[in-house]
Amino acid sequence: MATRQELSDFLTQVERRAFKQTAYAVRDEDAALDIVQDAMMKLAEKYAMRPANEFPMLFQRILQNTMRDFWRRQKVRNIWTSLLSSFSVTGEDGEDSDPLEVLTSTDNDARVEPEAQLEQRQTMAFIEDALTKLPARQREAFVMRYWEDMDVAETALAMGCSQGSVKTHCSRAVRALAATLEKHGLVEQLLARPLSFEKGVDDES
Amino acid sequence: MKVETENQQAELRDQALAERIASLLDEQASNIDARIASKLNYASQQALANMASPSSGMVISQNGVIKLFGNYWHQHRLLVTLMMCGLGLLALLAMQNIANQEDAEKGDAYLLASDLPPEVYSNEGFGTWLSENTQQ
Repeated sequence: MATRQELSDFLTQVERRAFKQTAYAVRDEDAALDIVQDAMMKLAEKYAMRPANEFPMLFQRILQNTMRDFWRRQKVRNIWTSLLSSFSVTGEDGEDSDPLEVLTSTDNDARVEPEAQLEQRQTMAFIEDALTKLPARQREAFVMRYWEDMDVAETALAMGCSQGSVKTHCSRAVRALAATLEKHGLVEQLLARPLSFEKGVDDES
Repeated sequence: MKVETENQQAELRDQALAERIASLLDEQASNIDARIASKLNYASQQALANMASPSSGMVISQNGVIKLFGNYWHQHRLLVTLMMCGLGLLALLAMQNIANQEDAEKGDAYLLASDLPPEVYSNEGFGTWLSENTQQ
C-alpha cells in the first residue's frame, strides 16, 4: 500500500513528462493541463491505496483513457462547430497553424553555447513535430517504453494489448522518428550525443 | 547469419536512438514554462488533497467549474438510478389500478342503467334465453 508521500513523489516526478506527452497528443496546452489534472485526480481518488510500484502503469492507463475521453468530446464539439461555422464567414482564425511556431523556448540554460542551443532547439522541434504526427498507439508505446522507462509487459498492460503489439508499435515509432531525423541529417549527430540526463532531475540540482 | 547480425545491429541502433530522443524529451520537459509548472504543481496538490478526503463534497472539475457534491453523486449514481426505476414501476402500477377501477365503475353503471334487474345476469339460463331471442 502506498503512502501519501510516495504518491506525492510520484506525481512530482511524472507531472511534467505527462504534460508534455499529453501536449504532443492533443496539441493544446490548456487541454493537456486539464487532462493531466484529471488523471492525477483519478489516480489519487481511486488508486492511492495500490502499491507505489503500480503507479506508473496505472497513471499511464488513466492518462490514455482521459485523452480518449477528450477526443470523444472533441469529436462531438467539432460536429457542432462545423455545423455552426457553415453559417459564419471564415477569417484569419481559420488558418492552419504550424506546430513548430507554438513550441516553447528554453532560454534559461545560459551555460550552453548559443549555436549549440539553437541546434538543440531545432532538433527538439523536429522530434516534437514527428512525435505529434505519429499514430496515437505508436506514440503511446514509444513514450511508455522509452520515456517513462516501463518494460514491455507493463506497457502492454497499460495499453491493453499484447507484448508483441507493443514491440511492433515501438519499432515503427522509432523508425518513423529516425526517418524524420535522417531527412535533416540529425541521426548520427544524435547518436554521438552522450546519455547524461537522468530522469526527474532538474538542471538546478 | 549475416542478415541476423544486421538485424541485431539495426535493433541496437534503434534502441540507442530512442534512448537519446527520450533523453532530449526529458531535458525539454524539465525546462517547462514556469506558468505551466506552477499549474501542474497546483494540480498535484489538489490531487493529494483529494486523496486525504475522498468523500469531500467539493471537486474542481477540469474546466475550473466547481461541482458541488460531485463525489457523492458518483458514489450514489447507481442507487439513484434504481430509485428512479422503482418510482417508475410504482407509477405504472398506480395507473393500472386506476384504469381497472374505471372499468369496474363502467360495468356497474351499465348494469344499473339496464332495463333488466342485475340478478338476471348471474342466472344460468339467461345466456340461453338471450341467444334464442336474438335468433328470433
